[in-house]
Amino acid sequence: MRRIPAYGVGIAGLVAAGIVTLLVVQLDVFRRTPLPYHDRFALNRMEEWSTYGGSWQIVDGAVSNNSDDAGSKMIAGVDSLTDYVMHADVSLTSSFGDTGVVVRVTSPESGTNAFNGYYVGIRLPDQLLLGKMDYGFRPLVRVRTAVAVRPNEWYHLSVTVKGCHLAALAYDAQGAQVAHGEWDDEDACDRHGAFGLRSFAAGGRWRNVSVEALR
Amino acid sequence: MKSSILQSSSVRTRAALRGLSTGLLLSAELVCFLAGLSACHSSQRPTTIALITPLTTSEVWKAMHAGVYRTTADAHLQRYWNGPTHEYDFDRQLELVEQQLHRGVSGIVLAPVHASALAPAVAQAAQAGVPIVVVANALATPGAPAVASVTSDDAAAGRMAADTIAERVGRQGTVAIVGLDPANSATLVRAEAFRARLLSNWPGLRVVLLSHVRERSPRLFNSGFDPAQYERVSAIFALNTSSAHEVLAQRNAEGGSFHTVIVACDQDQMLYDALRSRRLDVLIAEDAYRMGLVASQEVVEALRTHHALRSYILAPLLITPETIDAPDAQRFLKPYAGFDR
Repeated sequence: MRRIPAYGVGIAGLVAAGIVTLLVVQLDVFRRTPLPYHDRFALNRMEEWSTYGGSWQIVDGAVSNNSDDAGSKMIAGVDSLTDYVMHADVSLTSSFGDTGVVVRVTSPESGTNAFNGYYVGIRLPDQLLLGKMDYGFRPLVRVRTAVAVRPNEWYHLSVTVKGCHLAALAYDAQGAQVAHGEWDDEDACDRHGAFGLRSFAAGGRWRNVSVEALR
Repeated sequence: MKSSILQSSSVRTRAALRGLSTGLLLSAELVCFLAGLSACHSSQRPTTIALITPLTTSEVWKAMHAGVYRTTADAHLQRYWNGPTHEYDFDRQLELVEQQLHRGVSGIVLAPVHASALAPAVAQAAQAGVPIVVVANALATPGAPAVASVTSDDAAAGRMAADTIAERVGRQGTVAIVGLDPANSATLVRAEAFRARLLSNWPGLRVVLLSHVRERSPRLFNSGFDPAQYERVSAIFALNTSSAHEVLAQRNAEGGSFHTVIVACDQDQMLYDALRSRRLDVLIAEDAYRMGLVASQEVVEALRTHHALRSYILAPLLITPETIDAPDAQRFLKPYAGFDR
């Protein structure tokens, strides 16, 4: 009987372990965030989300944060997501602060600015805000909305990240575009990361959260 | 013969095991590479300086962060900045320091939210050989080894407040000191220096009211204390931002009718607005940017040369509505570009 040489066993071990690793990584990606993604708040489910501060619950098909923490967030997805477009209906539930979504999130933890990535939010009285988070906050673009931002009204945010380009559109509840902001990040841009919801010094509500990969 | 077969078998087994272990090691590298596990690269951990502040949202901490940012950017080091999302949450601050130590941070700049509650965390860092510099609020640790600190000259701030109130009120009058915080050494030092200055230089000015911060000691603040008393004194010395907000809110509630001189310490956007609209007469600001800069430079220097950490005391600046736009004042109030909240 022909014997398998020693180095052959090593190579086999390497190949087997590599395959297992790839499967684990891939399975983890598919288990946690198949893209396209759509929230399941209407089914009262949010187990794919991780919360960092705040007080989150699902009410009437929307997730709400009932805390006015200075920056709380809820993250889904994995670090490896790159170019995608995120949609969400958002609503501020207080008359102060701002509420929105985050994209290309890495290293999230509890704390006001405690993650790397980008934030797009609406702020009273009339602002669409694009900012970069790197355990600090840098406002990138501030755009005045065509109409005043009102508490407890729904706005639709559409945020696209492609390469180092960030683009955000805001629509009112009737579907009219109220603001548009863009930024080319030439300062060590974050090229990949998960997505999420964030509010700053305000309560907020989110629904119809979806994410699609861009080709 | 048997032994040679055994030996041969043993050699083959060892070789196979070596091959397998090499394979597994390479596989582990592959796992690390694919999964991006930081634990896999503990020996190549980058040098990270952590700044942990009581909050990350107010101007004073943003200014301090800008100082740390400058140091880390110049030295090509990693930076970590975090703090509780609610003021006075010392449990969260403790957790953040411990978390950073656990992660193997290289050095820490800590602005403690509580003068004694954070002392064990500072001792833990020192024991672990992690350089730590305390900023803004010196620790109250009698008997413990001295901890390096970079603080504002709070005694000078107290004296400045006494002198400017005397200038504005005259030699006779009554004064309230508000915002005394037993957990914040800066407020204690300011109040003490203020009273000493009045006694020595302005004996006609009497302190008739002393109140504690509401958030820290609600009972102390509320026990028989009526904010309407603010309008019955000639001047108010607010020892920190939250007490200044209380006073300004009371003035607003009264329709701005009382004309008490108000002097506040520390800085945030609301106080800048109050100063510009002359609802606040004087702001005594800390050089928070330099605090962050000097403290982080001290940490970096200690990492490079292993010298003992040194302490510094930085001069505060008195700012009025007339001087708020002067370069000196702006250097104190908005020393950062881009870090906006």
